[in-house]
Amino acid sequence: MRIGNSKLFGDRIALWGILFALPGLGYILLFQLYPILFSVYISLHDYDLLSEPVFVGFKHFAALPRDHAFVNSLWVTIAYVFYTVVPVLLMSFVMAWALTQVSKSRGLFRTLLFIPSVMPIVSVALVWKLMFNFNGPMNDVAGLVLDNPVPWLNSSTYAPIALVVMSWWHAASYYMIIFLAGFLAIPKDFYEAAEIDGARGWQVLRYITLPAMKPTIALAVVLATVNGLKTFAFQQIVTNGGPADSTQILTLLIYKTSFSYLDMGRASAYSVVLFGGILAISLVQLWFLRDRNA
Amino acid sequence: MRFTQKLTIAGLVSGTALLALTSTSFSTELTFWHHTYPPARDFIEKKAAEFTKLHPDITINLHDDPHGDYEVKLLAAIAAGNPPDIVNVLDYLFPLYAGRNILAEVDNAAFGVDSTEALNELYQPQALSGLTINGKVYGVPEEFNTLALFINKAHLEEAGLDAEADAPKTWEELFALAEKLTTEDGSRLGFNWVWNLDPYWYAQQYWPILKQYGCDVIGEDGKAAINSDACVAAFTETWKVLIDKKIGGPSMATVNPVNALQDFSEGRQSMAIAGIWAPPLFSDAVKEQYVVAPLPQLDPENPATLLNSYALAVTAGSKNKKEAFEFLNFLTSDSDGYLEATGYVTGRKGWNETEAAKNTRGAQVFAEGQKHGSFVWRSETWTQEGNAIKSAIEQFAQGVPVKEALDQAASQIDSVRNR
Repeated sequence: MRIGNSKLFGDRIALWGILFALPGLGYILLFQLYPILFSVYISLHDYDLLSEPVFVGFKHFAALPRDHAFVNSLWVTIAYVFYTVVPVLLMSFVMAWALTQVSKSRGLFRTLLFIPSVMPIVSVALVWKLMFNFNGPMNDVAGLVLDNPVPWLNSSTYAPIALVVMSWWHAASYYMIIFLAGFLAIPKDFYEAAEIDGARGWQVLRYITLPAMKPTIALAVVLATVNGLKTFAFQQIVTNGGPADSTQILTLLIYKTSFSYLDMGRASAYSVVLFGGILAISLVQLWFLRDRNA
Repeated sequence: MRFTQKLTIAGLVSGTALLALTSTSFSTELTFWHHTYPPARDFIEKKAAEFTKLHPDITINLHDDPHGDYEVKLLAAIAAGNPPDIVNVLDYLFPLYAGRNILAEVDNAAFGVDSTEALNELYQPQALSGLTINGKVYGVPEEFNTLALFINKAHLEEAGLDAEADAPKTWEELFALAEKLTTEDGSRLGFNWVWNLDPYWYAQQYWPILKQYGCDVIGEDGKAAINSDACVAAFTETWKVLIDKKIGGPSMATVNPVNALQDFSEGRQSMAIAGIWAPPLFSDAVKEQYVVAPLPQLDPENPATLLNSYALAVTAGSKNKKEAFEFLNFLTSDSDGYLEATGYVTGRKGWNETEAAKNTRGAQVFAEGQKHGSFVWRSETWTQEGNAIKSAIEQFAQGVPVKEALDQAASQIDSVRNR
């Protein structure tokens, strides 16, 4: 049965759709796209927040390779992401798998394990800062085997390690939930078929679990890498980039360059590079981990 | 209703509206932003109420944020074209703020004088020098500080010493005494620098030492001179000594941005360098028996100390500059009240002869120290330069040779200044 003019009806539906989408679209344009485009614009200018921007072309980008602070921060960021992402994903994968093996009170364990991820990061950072203090609990533990306290937050060697450990604790449970969803989405038939075929332990993991989890793993890897590159709070609160800039990740350098040094042009150039890096890494990871059967 | 009645009512309504409008336009609200320090907030609010009593058409709206957040928020407000009328600014930021026309030149008339020279006469010598750019004064001190050595009397008595008679006069004496007072298990430190806070905290501590050694951060040619022989000697013979002797350093310091002197405040450290504002931070036990001695020197015959100022200024964008400066004069002229309520020295002449100063331990030491002080170097890129030196200090504290760390700082400073 035809109800009125179907083309007109379809047009009305489309119009309503656009109207409903407008607020969301407006938000994206105003608070996401505009700042990105404005950053690109400012990166081509000298701008101190207080005077009019002056066009300088690619000056800030050309200076990046000789910019000691930027090069240092780039390496600090890469190291932080590497030492955070890989262990966190492994830990969260194992935690999620362990949860699938629990038959009783899984919800309770899942909630308990998820607590670190839902705690406010500022409170978490302050508590960890106290724990890593020279007379804090971490050194009480270290004191059982070492003669001298470890200068966790005052050494360029130990401060990055302390921050990585904090990140493991904070992030692992978040990715655990993602992996858990992936594990639970694998049809039981796959495992039953594999069992009939005589597959055991490692073989089940290699030929059933991992291929079925590939989209989930891709999502977790991309999210973890992007979140790692964008991290800010731990470094700002716990070490503020020190000692001797050893924990000065790019986001913190961008913040300081913008609001302490009033060099918005340079900070925007850093941001554009970081944005490009995140985009490129995400695309490569998604392509590499794409589900070829889909 | 007749036409004349209507006209009368219309006239009355318009007249009332006009009266309301004019009375509104005559009332002024001054916005005042300050870094968070509860005793100062209480005192300013009290003075603001007194000022409003004298000038019922002027009210003051005080807002405060913690140091650090405060500066960022202030810049955002200025950038957005909505600055407060009165702001609280550290002296090293004056070249940047004045250079960007953020601050208004002080209105001499509001201070009851007719020239900059006469304004300077109201203050201790040099009190306004750190707030003066190209001959123009852009603010007045709320705090005009210098540093001295605080000593825990009980700790020295335990070592058979008298805190006043045996107070160290030179850096060499200070480190020798610190070594004597430091316990092997690290439960007590003789002395330590303040570590891991912002670059200005570091600068406050090393600046007088650099002056004593004849070291300049920036040379006369405008290039970094922080890696000169004099500067290397200054850092090697002072900052580095504690590390080499293993009696101090960042790994032994409790870091607390709210109380930079926490170890001294809690009686874990015997000596600390601080300003007259410090005692309210001390625990009751330490408060009872601390002694204030002059800042140690390389040559006590030729002393050099630090001057610094958390100043008050009026923004160039304020529509109420006259009223704002009048309030600043009213507020800061109460030196006695300020010192008593907040521990701040406003830098007005004769502050050390007031009743409050007589009741403040060490006031005369600070007054004497002010005579030999200087402000940290002036630069529009001070924060980057200060960060480079902070980073160098943190490097040599971890074993990097002092000269190598300072060379790197000099290179970074030159790079920033050449942009």
